[in-house]
Amino acid sequence: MGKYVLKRLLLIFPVLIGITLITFAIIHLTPGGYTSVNMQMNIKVSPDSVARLKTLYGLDKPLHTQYLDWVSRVLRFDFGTSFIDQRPVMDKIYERLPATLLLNLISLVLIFIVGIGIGVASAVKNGGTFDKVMSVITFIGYSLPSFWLALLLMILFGVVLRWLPVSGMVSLGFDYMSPMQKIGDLILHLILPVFVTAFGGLAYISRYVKSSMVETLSQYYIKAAYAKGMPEKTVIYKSALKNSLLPVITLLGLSLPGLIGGSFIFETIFSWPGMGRLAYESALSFDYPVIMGVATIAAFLTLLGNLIADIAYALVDPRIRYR
Amino acid sequence: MKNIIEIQNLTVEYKIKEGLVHALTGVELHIQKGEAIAIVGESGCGKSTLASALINLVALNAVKSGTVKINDMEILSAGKKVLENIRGKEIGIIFQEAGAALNPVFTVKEQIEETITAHFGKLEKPELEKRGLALLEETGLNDRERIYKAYPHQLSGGQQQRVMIAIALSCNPEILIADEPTTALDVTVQAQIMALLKKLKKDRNLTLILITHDLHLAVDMAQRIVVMYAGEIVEEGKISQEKDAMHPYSRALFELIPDINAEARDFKIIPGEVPDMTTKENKCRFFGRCATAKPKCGTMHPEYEKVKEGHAVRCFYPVKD
Amino acid sequence: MNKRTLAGLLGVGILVLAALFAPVLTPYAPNTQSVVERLTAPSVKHILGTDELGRDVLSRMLYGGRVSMSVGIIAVLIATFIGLLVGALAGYYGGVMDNIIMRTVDIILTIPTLFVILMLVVFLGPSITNIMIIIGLTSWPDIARIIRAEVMSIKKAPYIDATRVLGLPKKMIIAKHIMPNALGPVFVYMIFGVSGAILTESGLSFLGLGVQPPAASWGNILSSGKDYIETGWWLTAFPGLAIFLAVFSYNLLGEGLRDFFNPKLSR
Repeated sequence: MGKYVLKRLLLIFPVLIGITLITFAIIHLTPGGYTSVNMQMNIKVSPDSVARLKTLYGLDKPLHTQYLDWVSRVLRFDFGTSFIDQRPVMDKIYERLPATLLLNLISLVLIFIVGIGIGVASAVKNGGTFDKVMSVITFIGYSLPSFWLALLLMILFGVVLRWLPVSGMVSLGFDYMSPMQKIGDLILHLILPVFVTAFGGLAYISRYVKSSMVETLSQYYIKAAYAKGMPEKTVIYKSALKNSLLPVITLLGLSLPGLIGGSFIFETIFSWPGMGRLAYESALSFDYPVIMGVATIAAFLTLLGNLIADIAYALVDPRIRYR
Repeated sequence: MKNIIEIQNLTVEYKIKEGLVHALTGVELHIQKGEAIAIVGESGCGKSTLASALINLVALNAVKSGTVKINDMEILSAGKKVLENIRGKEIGIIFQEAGAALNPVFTVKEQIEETITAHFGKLEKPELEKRGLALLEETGLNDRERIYKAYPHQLSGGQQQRVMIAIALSCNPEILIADEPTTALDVTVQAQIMALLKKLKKDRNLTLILITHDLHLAVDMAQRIVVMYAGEIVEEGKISQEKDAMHPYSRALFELIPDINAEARDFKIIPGEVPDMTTKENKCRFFGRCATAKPKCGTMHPEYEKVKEGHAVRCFYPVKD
Repeated sequence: MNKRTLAGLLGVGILVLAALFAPVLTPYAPNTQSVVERLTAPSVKHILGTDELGRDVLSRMLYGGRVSMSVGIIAVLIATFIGLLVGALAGYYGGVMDNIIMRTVDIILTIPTLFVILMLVVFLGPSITNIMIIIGLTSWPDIARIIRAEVMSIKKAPYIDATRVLGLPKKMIIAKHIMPNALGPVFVYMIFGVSGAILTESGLSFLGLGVQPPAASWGNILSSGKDYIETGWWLTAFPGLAIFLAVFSYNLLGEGLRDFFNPKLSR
């Protein structure tokens, strides 16, 4: 167990180096880089900012020095200052991080609870009506462009029915509300973004859980459990469930890049004041330092999520815990 | 003596794409309380299906007919509750590969105790643990405290099989089915497990049904041998050596036992293969592999007939010498 | 071949034909504006209505389909080329080479792809060509994994040993014998890849980071439609439906083919 965790922790370093190398490569090797015409023509970027960026990335020094300087800054979370309002990039990200985490964590919990429920129910009655209906719905869920779904839901619940707010995280008069009203307001604003964020993942997880459960139910030890006279419910919801849910934990880690990556689309559509929207706004105004900062932080978050998932897996799977 | 198990005209067929697999056809078998019998045959002959049918745990695509009575209780048509009561409590079963039959993510303790709880209701924790540890002792395990808290992957193959036996016996069944209990183990451990089964049979006065492909083991353990071929019983009786066997197939199985005294340990095989189980032709199933077959064997299917008291054979020309 | 595959094939076939023959099929030029016909609802004259500049939506969607199909297909071809190369190298040579390549792939898979795409779009500028290249450059790792696994399993097959004995050069062995065997699963993945690429492209265009107006794409029609939710529902409904049906068809085809190449997985 200790050995496994240690090995897993050590594996972070090559990945970290990989992430920084890729980000660095994008900055330096793409034809549209800092010194290009593209950039000089952009009126939003003053010559002054370009000069500061050059110093930040040490563009006049040799490549490996540039890289090491940059990495040492990244490790201190120093991504420089924004071109637009000259504030430190990290301050801007800190402001936006809670909103993104809130949205993604709630979605993640929802995806797993509902996805596992659907998957298990489909597997238990494999080929039954529920399974058939669900496999059609999840297949549609796979193919539905989530931003279109978001638009349709906004039209239905926001414009036609006027039940739910369609943009932002809180209402205008939020500051004057009582604590209970504040929570209610936040929940109302969360419903649509959470639903849309969770939808695609739900299809994926429920399919995975189903196949994992079907596989487990065909195992020898399930037959053995029936043979010793265990009631069907115990066999399915105790003996089989634990076995088929273990691999789902690692899936939790694997689903993070998609979730965090997708956040810039959903946050933009719903004007959700998170990191994804920050990246989008910065992209439109060519605010390079902010984009780089957000991308790097997003990669770190993913890495962290993966790490937590792997360690959690080791903790609950006895075959790894006691080796 | 009372029959604890009565099987009459048991037929099990599996529906598959290619048609029907006749896994068991017209099986008749009576087993007395306290008896030790062995069911012998090559793999695919239907002996494992027979074991599953005894607790009505055959695959979902199976079609069953006939009757199986355990202590006068008909179980092929029994409901879920009745079956749950019989399984584990009246019939314990040990599987071929203990490694695969034990749930990998629960401890030995959990797996023994859940069985006891399923049949006797919730007991006090110390009482449960006492019973569990006593079972481990009965199955000859040392280092019981560690093993009790261990997960299956932390145990050796022999230990896993002993744990499996402990689980099978945890609710004091009268009948114990051992389905190839030693196949996955190495030779020395095999002998230990067989000795343990013998001892348990005696101590608990169990009705033991040993399922094996190894006639040598069968003869060593059981008073009565049942030989199966292609889903049918072909011979049944007190067989302790080759000349007791009257069906050519049983004889051939004896030939497979390597002679320990022989200098060259050549393993013989029966030529040919078990016939296609999806067809039911009007001839002896062993026709084509049988060394002493005559023309009649190829045109008629032999009935199962009594040749002397306690001995029946399905063969037109039983071997007598 | 099952019903799903046929339905998928039919859908994909219609889409590809519609894209190929867009100039013939379109009743109007995609960029012709008309001040008097701004935001008119679907009618006999304009079957799918007109947009905020009075352009015919059907015509724009047919041309948009061209964009989506070509971005999807070319991006996947780029990804496949890289994936084949990388996966074959890792699988065939094994050892250190394999380790380095596959760890790199692991790293790339932990990075949220959409952020990388976002960075690249910003640096390279949004254009159809760049979108194709960027999606291609970011979606090869899965293909590399499949190829590697296939190559590793096929490498052990007896007939490969036979070719070695004959003294054929290594590269020829890979190209002539391993590749044809590995192509089945890769082809399935390519089909799924096209649907993924269509989704990414339309998402980017929807956000204004993909295909730039006046060129039409399903994503950017949808994007302009979101400003006219109350007055021009057809601008939201049809392009979204088109994206959905395209992705759906490719997914159907992909699933059908997967069952065809690997019957074990099908129920």
